[in-house]
Amino acid sequence: MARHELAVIGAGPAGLAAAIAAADAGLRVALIDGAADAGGQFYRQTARQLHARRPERLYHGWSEWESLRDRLAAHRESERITFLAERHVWHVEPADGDGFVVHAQVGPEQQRSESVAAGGLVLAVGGYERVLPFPGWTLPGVLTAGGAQAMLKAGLVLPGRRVVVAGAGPLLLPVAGGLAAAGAEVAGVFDSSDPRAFGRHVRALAQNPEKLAEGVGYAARLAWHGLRVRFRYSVIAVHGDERVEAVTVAGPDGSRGRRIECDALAVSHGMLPHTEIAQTLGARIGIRGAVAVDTEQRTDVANLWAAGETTGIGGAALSLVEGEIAGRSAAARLRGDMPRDLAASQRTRRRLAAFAEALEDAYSAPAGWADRVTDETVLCRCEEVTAASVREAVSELGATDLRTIKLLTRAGMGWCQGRICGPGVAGVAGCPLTPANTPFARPVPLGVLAEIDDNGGSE
Amino acid sequence: MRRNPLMLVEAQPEPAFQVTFDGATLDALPGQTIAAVLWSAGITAWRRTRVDDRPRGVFCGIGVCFDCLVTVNDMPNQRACLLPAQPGDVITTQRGDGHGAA
Repeated sequence: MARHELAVIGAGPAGLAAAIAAADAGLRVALIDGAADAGGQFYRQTARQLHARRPERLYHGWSEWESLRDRLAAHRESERITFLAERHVWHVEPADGDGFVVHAQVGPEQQRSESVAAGGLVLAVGGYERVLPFPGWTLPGVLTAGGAQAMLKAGLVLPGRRVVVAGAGPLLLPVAGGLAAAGAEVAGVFDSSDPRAFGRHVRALAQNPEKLAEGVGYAARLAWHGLRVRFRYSVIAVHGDERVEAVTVAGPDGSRGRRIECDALAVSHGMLPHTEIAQTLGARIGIRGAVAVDTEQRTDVANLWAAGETTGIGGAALSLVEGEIAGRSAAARLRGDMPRDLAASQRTRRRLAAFAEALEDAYSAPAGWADRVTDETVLCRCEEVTAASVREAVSELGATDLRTIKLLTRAGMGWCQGRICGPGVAGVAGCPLTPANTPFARPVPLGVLAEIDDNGGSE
Repeated sequence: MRRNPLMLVEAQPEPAFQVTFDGATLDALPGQTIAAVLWSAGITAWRRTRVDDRPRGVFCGIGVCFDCLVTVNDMPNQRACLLPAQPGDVITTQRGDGHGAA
């Protein structure tokens, strides 16, 4: 089994920055990612065989990406960084002595596992989208806003011809703009948030002019396509039999709905951090369900760092600076030194984190969404558990937490392990959203488990 | 001509190959996932659920939700949003858990 000084899981902005900073300082790093190319979701790359000559038209911050890409290439050339692509990490365990062993399924088929050992580990595993349920949300054609963007960037495809973009949060702007630029007819962009809420955060917003400019840029792109965000509006139902045919959108008063014909709905209500691996290793989970870290991005587990969305949703710029801090801290600490000159990066981190918190506070889910979820609405998409079952578990059987609801109804017991339905079930049940504690970070074929030998490696 | 994503980024894809979906022949571009190939053909559903026999397709698009499971070359439970299409792939609607008659 190969052993590295540092392993970094996730090659998005945070993981790339961490791996590059650690390699700059001389560490030998394994950078592990599920995709064929580095980039993560934010810089998700168009498949090489599609030969996009103007890929930057689908991205924000392309020059930043080019810099990361070139620095990664230089470190791979000098063998400071080993890039392990198409490795889907399913388990991490403490190694005998010190460090960690990372187990990953290989390739898109994921029928085989491979292991990597490292003295230190940076978790840069990102986040995933929160979608709150509404009647019709299981119909084909309803998908996450980030998913629509990922499919567009990677495969140059659109979810439909006429698309509604809805939910709450900063992601809706670039997704709607990207879909429109790529030729979709965007039939409306609806954000349930109240723009007046941004007024409570003038200081955090004013201290981040480049982030504001980013937002203005997205809005300008929308305007160029004749679009603008309708705030305080939300999709309250999706109509169709075998796929989306229309949605109903309601405004602040909630009473009168407007029907909009469309064949796809891209929806998002913010993001949640991936925390499974950190939990498995015993790291503390802090506010908003994110991995708790100190000012050097260290978790409370020795030689375990975390950076990017897994430590709190904040966007690519924040992820980059957190990754850099983690990489530099790891490079020093793993060699018994104190990290130096982190202060400037830590100031940037604080400023961007304040901005992210302001956004998190200002963007808000549709008021009363849980009450609009009809009894027939499926909440748990994997196990097909309806809102009626969840309500019955609460009102008739006395369940007060997600785990009990899962045991009584199977909600959250399926393939996705409750990642998708957790927020919806918690909201409908009126209980807190607690992260599930699962031993494996993803479903694993039994054949893969059977292959693992006692040394933690596989055939 | 209507704008499309390939035009936006001035893509020059490698030559298309063929796959089948429930017996129908579809064109696929090298590098595209199974889900991207099906979307390109206007197909948005390729699984029927175990309990209620309802249609499903892409939901999260990044391999988290497992809604887009599909049977490819007789192997069920493949995530269409992650798996690259290969020439000659036989893609079929997955019924239930994909093992035997649903």
